[in-house]
Amino acid sequence: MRIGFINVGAPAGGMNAAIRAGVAYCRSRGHEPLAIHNGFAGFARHHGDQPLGAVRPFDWLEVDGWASKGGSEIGTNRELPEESGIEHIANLIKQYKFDALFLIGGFEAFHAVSQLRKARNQYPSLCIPMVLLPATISNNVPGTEYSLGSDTCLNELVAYCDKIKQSASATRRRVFVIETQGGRSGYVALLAGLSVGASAVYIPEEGISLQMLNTDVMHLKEVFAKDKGQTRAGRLVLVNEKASRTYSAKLIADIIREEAHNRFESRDSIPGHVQQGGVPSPMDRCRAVRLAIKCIQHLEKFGPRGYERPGQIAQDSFSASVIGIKGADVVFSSMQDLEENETDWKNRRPTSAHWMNMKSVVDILGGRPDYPAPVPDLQGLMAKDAKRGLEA
Amino acid sequence: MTQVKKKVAVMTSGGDSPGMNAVVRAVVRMAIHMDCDAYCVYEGYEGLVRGGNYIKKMGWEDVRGYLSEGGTLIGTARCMAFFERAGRLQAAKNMVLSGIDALIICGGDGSLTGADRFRAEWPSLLEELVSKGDLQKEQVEPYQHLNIVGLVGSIDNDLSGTDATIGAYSALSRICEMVDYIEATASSHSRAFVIEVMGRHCGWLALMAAVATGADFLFIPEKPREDNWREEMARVIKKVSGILPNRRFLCPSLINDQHRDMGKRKTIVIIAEGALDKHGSKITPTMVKDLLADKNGLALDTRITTLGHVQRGGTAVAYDRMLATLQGVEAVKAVLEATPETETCFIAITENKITRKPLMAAVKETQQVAKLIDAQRFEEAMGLRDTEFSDQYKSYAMSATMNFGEDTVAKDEEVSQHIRL
Repeated sequence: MRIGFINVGAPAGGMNAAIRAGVAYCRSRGHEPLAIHNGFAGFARHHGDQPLGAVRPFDWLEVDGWASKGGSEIGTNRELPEESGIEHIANLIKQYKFDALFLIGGFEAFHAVSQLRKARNQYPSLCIPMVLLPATISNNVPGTEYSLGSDTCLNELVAYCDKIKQSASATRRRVFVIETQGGRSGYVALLAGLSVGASAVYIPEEGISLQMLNTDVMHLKEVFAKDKGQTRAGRLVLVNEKASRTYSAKLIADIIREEAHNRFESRDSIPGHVQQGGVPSPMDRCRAVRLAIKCIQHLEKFGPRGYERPGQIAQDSFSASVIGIKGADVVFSSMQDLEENETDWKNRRPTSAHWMNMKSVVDILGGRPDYPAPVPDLQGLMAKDAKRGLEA
Repeated sequence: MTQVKKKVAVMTSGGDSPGMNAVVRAVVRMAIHMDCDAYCVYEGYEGLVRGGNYIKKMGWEDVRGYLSEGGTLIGTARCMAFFERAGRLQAAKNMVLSGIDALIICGGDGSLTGADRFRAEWPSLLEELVSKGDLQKEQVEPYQHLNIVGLVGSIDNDLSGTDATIGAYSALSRICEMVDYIEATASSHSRAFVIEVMGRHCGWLALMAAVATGADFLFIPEKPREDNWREEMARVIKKVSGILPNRRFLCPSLINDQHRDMGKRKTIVIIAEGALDKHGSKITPTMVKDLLADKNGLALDTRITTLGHVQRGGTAVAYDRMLATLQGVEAVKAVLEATPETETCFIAITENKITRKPLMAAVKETQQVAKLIDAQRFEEAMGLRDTEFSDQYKSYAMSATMNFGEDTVAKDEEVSQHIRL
């Protein structure tokens, strides 16, 4: 089979390891793996470039060295097929005679598979098996509890926070408010908080309210009032970049400093794109290898030239699917099922956060007091009516 | 009558592993949160036998900063005394005197086996203490049953029934970091490196390191090499000087290529410390090196690197901190829910799920693996490792072109016409 390999979205640790394993597996099975460089943008506009087009075979000697490489060697891009022109993409898939697509990426890649799947009834060339191996530091792809790159990101954050905490402890009595990435998913913020012992973690799933901040600030004041310890006196607060539209890391740090009235100090700190990591963690690399091979095995089941029997491919809901780890199992989920039942499209994350039960552990072990939970936002007409005093 | 708080103690035992401190922090804080008194037993079983200052009450603030420290801050020691009944008798006495209701032990399979034996003997130990007059009947009355929960702290990841032990991923990180460093120099000098990693009877560290770094060849105890391993390795690594540019592009005729033939400039062989051949004889790094360096054979400039205790050191990676913390919390819940009838359990993880499992079954299975390897019944030994292990082994075999006898399927007809574009 001719299998197209494509990266979509931001880089994540393990992308290259996954490609290397997929290519090696294809070789051992006699398939033909082809790299599509620079995502759908590269595919759409540079496939025919001379001397080097965006679609080309892999050089094994080069690929063999990718096991431990960070970033994305074949390049990644956030552009979606509908932005590139879905008809154009469908034609290119036909032109290059792809029998299957292997996508590695984050929520954009998920969105891309969704678009390609939905366009199948218009374009038979899209009736080929497609599988997504989730790879994003945000770990926000429906269908899995773990995405490649999230472990690398956590390790970067842990290393960063350890250093910050050392600084905070050495200067005594200082709170650091650290802003993490993760889009509208609080996964990395919370897990990093668990791993470094944060005093509080603010996540988009919950939001931030004035009362909540008040409780946490009051608690910090109490703790520092009692604390006569000379060592390990640093405190960390983690806040996801999209936890609140108003309360940014800087603002929270300023509030704490203001309220401390010179009894302790507060600073904000933003690691930014460092969180994508340098060399991917061994866990990401090993899981990349294992999951990538399973993905190609899944694609193999559908056989070559699916476009010649579009009805049959389109009917099998698993012909567009996502591989993932769910609980104790490695599973494939059908794209359609995930799109319709497990995706919070507005917030670009799964409808349920499997990791939410760890929140209480972080709060308990960090010694955080009970706080009033923020009220959820009203949406649409409900919000409009409420604002005009027309509550039902 | 006033409610007396339960006393929960935590202890680290056996070889230290990154993440043990996270366990201690989680247990101490969770116990306090659950309205118990938290204790630490210092220096492993030695502390239990010595008692007194070795069993210390811990406050909330005492474990501050523990997450970012490597090793174990409450110490661990090899304790000969505990192997004897007299030592265990003394330990039982100390526990009663300190009023410990439940004990959470983080250690390897040896430490956890000791713990289960201790629990089984407990009633008879108390009886003996009373009959000898060391303790009064009223003193032992509240401690008729000893609650023990195990947490697996080991870098070897050798316990059956759990995907990962606390510390294994940290050790793996260290190994991969070192291999990544070595690769740079291997590549520069076009050298071969034989890297020996820890793991005792278990090849998990070696296997995962090989998968993560794309090593050229691998030796692990569970999958010993055939008699012709020398020829096999030579074939895979075969050196041909210079790069053959026109052969660099993929084509099916290269499927069984040899790494050096392709122009690869570095050769990395990972060998587990327990590596064996098919007859159960040890394969040493020196044997591998001699073969690679053989003037009449591959004649590669070859070095051996034995990573040693570097693998155990340093702070825990994020995964181990998470695992240790969640398992520590679960352990406290488990000891508080345990009744005299419940079997001793340990806390396991399967993919992403934290569970309680019977301890002795897992220990027996683990010891069984070692026995099977000794008896050269390797297939069965492999079967007792978790699915991830065999999955990863297959992955490695497929991605490293080792030709481990995995199925190579007939190419479908159109593949042969390819190589255009």
